[in-house]
Amino acid sequence: MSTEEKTAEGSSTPQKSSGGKLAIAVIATAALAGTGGFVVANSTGGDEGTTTAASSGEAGGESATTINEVDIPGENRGYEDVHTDEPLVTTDWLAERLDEGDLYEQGIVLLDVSEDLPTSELTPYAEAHIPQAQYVEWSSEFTQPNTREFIDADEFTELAQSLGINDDTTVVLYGDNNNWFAAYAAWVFNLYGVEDVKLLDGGLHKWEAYDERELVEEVPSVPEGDFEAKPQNHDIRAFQPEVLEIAEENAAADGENVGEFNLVDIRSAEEHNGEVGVDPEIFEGEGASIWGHIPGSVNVTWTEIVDEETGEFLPEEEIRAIYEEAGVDFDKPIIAYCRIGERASHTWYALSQILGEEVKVYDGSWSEWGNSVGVPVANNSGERAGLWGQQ
Amino acid sequence: MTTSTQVEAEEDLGWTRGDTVRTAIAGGVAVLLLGLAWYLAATDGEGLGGSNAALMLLVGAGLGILFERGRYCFFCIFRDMFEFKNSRGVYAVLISIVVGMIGYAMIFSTRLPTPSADNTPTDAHIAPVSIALVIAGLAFGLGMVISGGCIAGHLYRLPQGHLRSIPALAGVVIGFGLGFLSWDFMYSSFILGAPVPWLPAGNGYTLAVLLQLGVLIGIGVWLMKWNPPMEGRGARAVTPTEIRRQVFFTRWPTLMTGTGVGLLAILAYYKDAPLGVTQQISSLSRTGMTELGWLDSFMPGLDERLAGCVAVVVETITTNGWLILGIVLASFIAALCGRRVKVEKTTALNSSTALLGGLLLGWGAMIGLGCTIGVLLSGTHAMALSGWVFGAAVLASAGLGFKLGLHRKAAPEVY
Repeated sequence: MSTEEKTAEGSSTPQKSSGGKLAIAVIATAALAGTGGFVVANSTGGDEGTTTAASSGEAGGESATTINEVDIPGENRGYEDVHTDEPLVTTDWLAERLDEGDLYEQGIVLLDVSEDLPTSELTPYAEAHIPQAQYVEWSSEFTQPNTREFIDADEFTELAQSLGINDDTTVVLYGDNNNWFAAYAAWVFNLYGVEDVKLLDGGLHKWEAYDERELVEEVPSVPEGDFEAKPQNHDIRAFQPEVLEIAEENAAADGENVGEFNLVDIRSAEEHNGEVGVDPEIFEGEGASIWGHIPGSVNVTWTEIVDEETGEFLPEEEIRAIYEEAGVDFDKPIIAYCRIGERASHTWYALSQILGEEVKVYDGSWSEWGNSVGVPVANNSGERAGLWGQQ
Repeated sequence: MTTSTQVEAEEDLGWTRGDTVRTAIAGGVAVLLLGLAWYLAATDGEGLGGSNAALMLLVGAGLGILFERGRYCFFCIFRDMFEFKNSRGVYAVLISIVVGMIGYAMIFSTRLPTPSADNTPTDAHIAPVSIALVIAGLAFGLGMVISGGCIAGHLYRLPQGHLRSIPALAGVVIGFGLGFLSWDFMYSSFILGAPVPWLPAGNGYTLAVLLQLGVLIGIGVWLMKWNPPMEGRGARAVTPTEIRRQVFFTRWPTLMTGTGVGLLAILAYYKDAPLGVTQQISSLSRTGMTELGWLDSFMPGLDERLAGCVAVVVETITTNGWLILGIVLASFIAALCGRRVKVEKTTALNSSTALLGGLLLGWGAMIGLGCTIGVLLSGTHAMALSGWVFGAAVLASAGLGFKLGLHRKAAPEVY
């Protein structure tokens, strides 16, 4: 730079050239700074760090967005405290622990989470239950009144402490109906950061009907625990906006499973295909105006992965083979859904806890999807189905 | 350091008995290094870091040679700049960023054709930008000046006989421990909810690469004012002695060093993980503390989706450990062949300042989720704003430290 100036002759030329260079430098700096500001401003999403449940959906041009921006507090905590080394315990294991005496002193809290349908052939907790088990009512104790959301972290802390759960407690869950609601509870417990949660394999059916072991009426009392709930772990919970993204990608690819997640629909084949809706006589409140499934989802009914007689989960390899055959690509994470999220939790338990995969439950499930305006739906029945399909 | 690495051109190198011993040791270490790589490749790294173990050991070896021969040391580079108004070393850093980011952009574009903010590549070192990152960078820069090197610098200068690196690295381990203890506070106060700017998001890779290129060129042009004149070199013949001198004695050209580091960074990211030298060290701290019951096994934020160069799972050895071992061994080989292994004088004072500096390095690297390699280099490669912010903070506090002469006060015998 300096050599040019030195060799240049006359007094006006160097001034001109240095003035020109200065101008170029100013313009270059301004352009760079302008681009930098633009790029940096563009480069963040609005909601990094804490995830929120809502996104803007697919607004473009003049279209409207239908999903409200509801904030569900939580964080993405990964799967380290979700995955458990030995996610299942056998009835023999539990019987041995009971023989040894007080479960609480062994660091175990045993919980019965059952659906208590009148049609169940199993004994309701109120009449008799596995010794030293406490009862948790899934509908009223896990959820906020008159809102479709779980109790918040503070309320969960209160609930867990009242059950005697400490930071290092092993929580063993069981229930009727093949552990549906026990698995649901296991998922909620993991959502709030309880680390060591196990299911009694086969549940109450295995204990009472298959093994014919004893039930007692006595209700245990335990000292208050010190467990503190963490924010919800949104790595195991899926919300409609992210499912919508996947569904739209899949729909655009003619229902192929091309999205970033596998979608596993665990409802019955008829429901999945869209031939039937939900029987309002039995499942009041779970009905849907649209029938069918989320585009790209594969259908594996939850019953396929349990042993019919004992109600226990099938061996790990068999479970994996069943999903693989159904079209689940284990290189991708998985989102499971059903009608309200409880049977999907059962599948979540198999895929996440037994197989060790990265799995979310879309607990909004078909009762949210099948009543939402505008979302893509696949129907295999070949007919117009649902509320606007019948005569 | 500047003088010891340069041999007068006229001087005949000769071959002393010392050279025979040094070369024999270097050969032995080289055999050990390659044998280890062969073993890891043959066993597929089973239980010892996995199938990438051998590759990362060799990448580390390459880095060790480049660091040692090109003097790619942030301490030395910044010191030359602030103390001697010599910016030449900076160009190696600038070039390594240019080369690396282009490679990263190519890898990103095959994996994520449309970059967006909620779809950032999770394995790249793209970190939240918050006041915590600035504080971490400031602490790191200060620690670098006081201890006589950044973490990577200590790793490659230790085999040169820079004994202060031992207390410094011990300080780093402890500093990581302090970082883990203060993590909850720093995370919940500053980092949680901080934006994670990724320059390609919403802009495309081209614009991000062009912007970074523009900034790097701007820095390069600006720093030309601190470029000392090149000394004329006499006519030389390509003789074995001259080759030996070029390979082992004179400092490698910045262009070559920078390109080499950039290429190795691309290779490491493509095959395994972004370059960084702190993950294995921080695992040491974390495992120890978890076993002693001083730390919870789960750390909010850290074990979620924050990608960085800090321990997540604790195993025996990770590929990162092999990378570090490669750096140390290869640097030793290169230093031996160039007669640069000289035990430096240590005193109680300069050892304790090295320890103190190491503490700051470790703490800064923990809170900043990596060091000058893991955050500055791998971050700018990934076109993350965090790399730039951390780099600026390190530069600012190192500059101040050098101006105040803290490195002399910390080790009067050395500088």
